[in-house]
Amino acid sequence: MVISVKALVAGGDTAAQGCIVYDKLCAELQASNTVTVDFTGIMNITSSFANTAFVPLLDHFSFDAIKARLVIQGANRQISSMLRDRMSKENAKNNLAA
Amino acid sequence: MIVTLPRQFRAEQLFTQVEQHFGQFEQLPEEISFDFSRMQFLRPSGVVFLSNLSRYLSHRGCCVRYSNLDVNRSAIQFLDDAKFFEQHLGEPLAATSGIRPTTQPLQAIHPQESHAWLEFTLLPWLSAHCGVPVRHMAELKTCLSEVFNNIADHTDSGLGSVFAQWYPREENLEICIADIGQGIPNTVARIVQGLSDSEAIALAFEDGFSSQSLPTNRGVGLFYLQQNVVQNFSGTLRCLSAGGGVTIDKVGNLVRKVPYKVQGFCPGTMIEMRFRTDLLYQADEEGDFEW
Repeated sequence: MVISVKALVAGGDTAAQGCIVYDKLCAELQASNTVTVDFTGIMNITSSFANTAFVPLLDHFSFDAIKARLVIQGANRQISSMLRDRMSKENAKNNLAA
Repeated sequence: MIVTLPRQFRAEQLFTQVEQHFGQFEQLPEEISFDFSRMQFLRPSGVVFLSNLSRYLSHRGCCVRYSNLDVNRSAIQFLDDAKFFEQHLGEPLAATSGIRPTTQPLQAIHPQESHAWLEFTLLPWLSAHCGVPVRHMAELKTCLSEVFNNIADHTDSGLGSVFAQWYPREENLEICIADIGQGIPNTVARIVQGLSDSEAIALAFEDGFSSQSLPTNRGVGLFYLQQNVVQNFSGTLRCLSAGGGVTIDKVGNLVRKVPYKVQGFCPGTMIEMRFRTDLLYQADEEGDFEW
């Protein structure tokens, strides 16, 4: 299953756009083993977008499971770096709280 | 009431008058006139602040007027070319007024539209000047979008503006973004009490500090701004809000934060950034994404 971010939202700028991506992504991860998120045509993502589209996945799946089942493609340097930073820091926070 | 604008007009120079005339905006006069007779030079922060203040006062029912507008004076021409009077009086002062190649005209911030303005207006304009392709400006666009998102999250009335100026000799870009919202010290005080305004602003730039005003806020935006503008682009950031300010720059490889008390009162939040555009370019990652 490939989810094209550009097909769902105009950009990765706001929390509202992140919510739309999250709904699709979470549903697909529950239904399929591996999901690819394609960022082709998206210039950048903000922390608000990453915090709503990806971070809440940690409430349903372990970070290791996400790493194994979520494939990211078409992401430039900024998108890759924001995704890694947000997910790893929130995962570390969750582990500390647990 | 008459407010005389200073000769060298940066926003900070109006804060004292703001405090004297308006206090913290508890009571406003029915009419106010901004007198331009002394103004000789203004910086982007002056353009943005005067625009926000005018819009806020009008929004609160105060009649705003501008006096001594001599279109032969360069500061007035600059403001006219920045579309200030077109936005506030409905038309430019001079028929010859036109956008200068080195500035992006004053822009009101609308939460849903401003991200597209960055991608399709500001960055192509900057790219044409500095030669860095738009696709290599993803970090800069994100920095500005983070500030726009903060304004959308913390400003009830959506009163925000942005103005950008390119300095070709130094190859520097100066951008000022400001709103008339709750202000950072008020927002921070919901979580941490007893800080001075400048300490509260400095805290807001720490990685992971969040006012938790929305469940999606995780305290990343201002830190990301600092990381890129100061650390990666070797620029300077200034943030002013209420009675405090913080200047952030780089000394060697270290980030230096200098908090200070402002004279007067800054309604809302103002962020000024200035940086070299040749450092915007960074090589893209090669190969597949790896966690």
